[in-house]
Amino acid sequence: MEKRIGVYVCECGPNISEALDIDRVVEAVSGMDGVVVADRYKLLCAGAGQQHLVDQIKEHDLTHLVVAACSPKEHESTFMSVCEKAGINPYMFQMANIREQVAWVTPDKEQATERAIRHVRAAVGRVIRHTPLATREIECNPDVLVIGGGIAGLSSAALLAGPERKVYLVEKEPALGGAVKGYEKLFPGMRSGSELVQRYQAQVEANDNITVLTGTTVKSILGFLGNFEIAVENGQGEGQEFMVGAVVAALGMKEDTESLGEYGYGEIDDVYTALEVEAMNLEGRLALKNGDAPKSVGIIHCVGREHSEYCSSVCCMAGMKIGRYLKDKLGDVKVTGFYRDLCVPGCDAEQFYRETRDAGMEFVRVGRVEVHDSGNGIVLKCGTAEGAVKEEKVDMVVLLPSVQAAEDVGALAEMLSLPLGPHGFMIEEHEKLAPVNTSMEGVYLAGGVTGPGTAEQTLSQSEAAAGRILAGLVPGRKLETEARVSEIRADLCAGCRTCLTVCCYGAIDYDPMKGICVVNEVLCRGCGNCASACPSGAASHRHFTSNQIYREMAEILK
Amino acid sequence: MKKGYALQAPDGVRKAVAGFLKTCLDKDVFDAVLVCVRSGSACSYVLVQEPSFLDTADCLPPVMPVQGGKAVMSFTRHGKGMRIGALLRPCEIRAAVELSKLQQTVPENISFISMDCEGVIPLSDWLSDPEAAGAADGSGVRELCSICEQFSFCEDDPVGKADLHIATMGVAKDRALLVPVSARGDEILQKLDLTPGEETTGWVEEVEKLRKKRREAREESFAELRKRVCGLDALSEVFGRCLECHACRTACPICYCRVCFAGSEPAGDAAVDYVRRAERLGGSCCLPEQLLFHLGRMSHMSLSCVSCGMCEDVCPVDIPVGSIFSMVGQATQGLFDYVPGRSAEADLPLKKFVLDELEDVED
Repeated sequence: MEKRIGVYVCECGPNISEALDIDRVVEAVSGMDGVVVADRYKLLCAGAGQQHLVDQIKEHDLTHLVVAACSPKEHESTFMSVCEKAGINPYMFQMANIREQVAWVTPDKEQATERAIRHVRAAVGRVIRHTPLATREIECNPDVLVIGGGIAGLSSAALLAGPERKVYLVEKEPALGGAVKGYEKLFPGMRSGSELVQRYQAQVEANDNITVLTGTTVKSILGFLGNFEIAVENGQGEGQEFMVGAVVAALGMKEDTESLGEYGYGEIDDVYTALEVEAMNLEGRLALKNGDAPKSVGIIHCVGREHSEYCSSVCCMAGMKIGRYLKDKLGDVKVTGFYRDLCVPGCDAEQFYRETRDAGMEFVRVGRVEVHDSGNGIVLKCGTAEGAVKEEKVDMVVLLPSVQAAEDVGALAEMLSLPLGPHGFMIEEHEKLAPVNTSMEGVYLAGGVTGPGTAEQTLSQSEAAAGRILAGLVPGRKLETEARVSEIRADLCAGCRTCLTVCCYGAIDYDPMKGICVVNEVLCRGCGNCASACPSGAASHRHFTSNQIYREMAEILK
Repeated sequence: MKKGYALQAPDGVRKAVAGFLKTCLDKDVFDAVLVCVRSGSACSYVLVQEPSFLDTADCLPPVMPVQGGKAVMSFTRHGKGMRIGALLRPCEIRAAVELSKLQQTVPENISFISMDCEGVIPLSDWLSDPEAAGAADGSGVRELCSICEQFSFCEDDPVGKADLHIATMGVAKDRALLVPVSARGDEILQKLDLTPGEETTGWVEEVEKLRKKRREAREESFAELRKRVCGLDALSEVFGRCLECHACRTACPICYCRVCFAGSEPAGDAAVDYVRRAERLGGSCCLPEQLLFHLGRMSHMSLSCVSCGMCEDVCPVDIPVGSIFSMVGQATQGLFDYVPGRSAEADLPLKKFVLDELEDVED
């Protein structure tokens, strides 16, 4: 079939038209192989511009379309729909970015024109080698697995479950509620943590569409968005398997115990961690080991800060909350926070800090703090900023350790072949564009699994994760797969599995019967890692073939 | 210091090693042995099950007819199969280890038996006079063999995965030492009731002496070569002789792809592209892949190149392709602190993700 390419250069108002000589660009591509029409237009993305393109495609019987305009991030999908509307395959289209990559980067009109010519010629050289691509539709299971029965998991489950969507809520502990259940109060509003948990838990328990599996751990997660096979096991070793379409990883966090020893923890009586004091408070016994009420308490911030190499952001506030417990319940107690840097982000936190100070808690800025047992109480030796050492006698020490990811986060990441961040937390796909997604479609994150956070932050994430699933995995609707994916030619593959190790999405499987690797088109995101790693040229990207790239480069470098 | 078992060799080491392998088959240590069998000038790897076949074996031929790593691949590509004792040169064992990491061999049931390698003579010399070329006195060996440092296994951290090593250097002519290198090597000797009680000091000293000499020769040789091949013009000239017969690739043990992109249909240029290139550049070379093929192959396999020299041996137009690849390989492997064939456990650099690496080659 004859290849008939139409090239249209957008003026983008003055953006492109004033920065370069569009007529010369049009002229430079007019004689190229396959180009039957090249022209300029005021604003192609506008309604009239799109209609113009549709009319042109029909009038000239075009088979391929090139638009030279803005970034493909902005309008690639617009012009691909134009192609569809005009009856040609949307992948027979190529965009040349002559605005962000040309017009906006130089005031030199001559240089800009020269460069625009290369970009547009490259697009023509490439598009002629495009092949029509098609998406597929796959059946989806709308059900969801929520891992972790803390507030993140509970709120996600409550939002997601409905008559058409079942939720499996898996919690490894015998009871739901997570860490927040153990907090009498939550900063900064000093509302009850346990009441909050109860409220969510009641919603979950009242919902017939939620299956709560406590004392249960997830053994394996296989599959992809819309089609995950889940295997779980309870404490008695009884297994269960079910299908879901999406997964919310709502695992929590834990205290970093690595550096506690440096502060006399475990050796000196009455040195506690923040979580231990939370538990003591909940039981109503904020007391020393000998049963007496403490007269003075030192709260040490930033314990393990050097070890963890990050600010855990919630511990300063947690320390203030403990100060408030002590002041509220014991009244006559001196509470001092020994901090290096105080992390009090946001208006509510600032207000909370002021209230805590008004309640009588003192804050002393120190360097390194050492905890010594004097035989008659605890002595804190605090290095001051000036290098002097100040001694402070206290009855009780509360350590505010940094926050780490829960133990099973690593195992889950391995199960899903997802990367962990440098600090052991799971990482989001994109901090701004996809903050609760993972690089595996259909797996979402909420709460401590992503890093230290407050209850509000956790709930925002769990609701966001639920929102992603509600919007993307609609019961009865099929999923459209990405057309621009990789493929592996069976006759070329030598089964070396190099591609498998470089695939970030777990989208390649090894078929031991045939001795070759196979791409799962649903999981593949078309990143092209496999295509570049494959020595045989067996793996290739459907929309970035060597030939297409070569021709594009050849025109650019001419 | 490791100890060895003295294998008596009144009729020469080759006969003694053949006898040893025969005993291994008789005593059911292996189901089969992989050795070179020679008939006139023809010399090939054979998987031997019938012990009497070993009478025709030439256990230490002065020539490398096919890279032993490739021979191992042909027997084990599709599963571990029977227990094989494979008598190979150190570079062949290293190639087999690399191939196992590339999932092209399953070496689980293979016991690697290596030997001190004196180097081999060029195939062309061998074919012109197989009898005269047999002198294994180290003279007349291939250029790459004469600068090879990894010709033995006598280190605390042996390069390669040999199980049993046959030491001949620094050992009296009428004997050889069987030195167990791995736990499996110990087992083999135990099964045969052979106790390694012989000191190996003389062998180790000799190997280290030669290694030092070779290292200096290698540096000198590469310094010389670098002058000849550095830069695009020099490379174009050196590879300008290339016929694109791709024999180097066929002989290379590491080039495992079933179909190579180079020379395949999608890589070919349309007639119109030749014409265009001529229009654009004033001329268009009619073997356009010449240099590209070698650079491409280099980028694919230099990290695993074991410097066996097969490619250079088979090149009909005498391009020093093995030396060039070995020199480049030494540099790329050095970047990742990677020694091909050293261990089956060390990850191939391409397959291992390291967050911070190669910072000095970033922009």
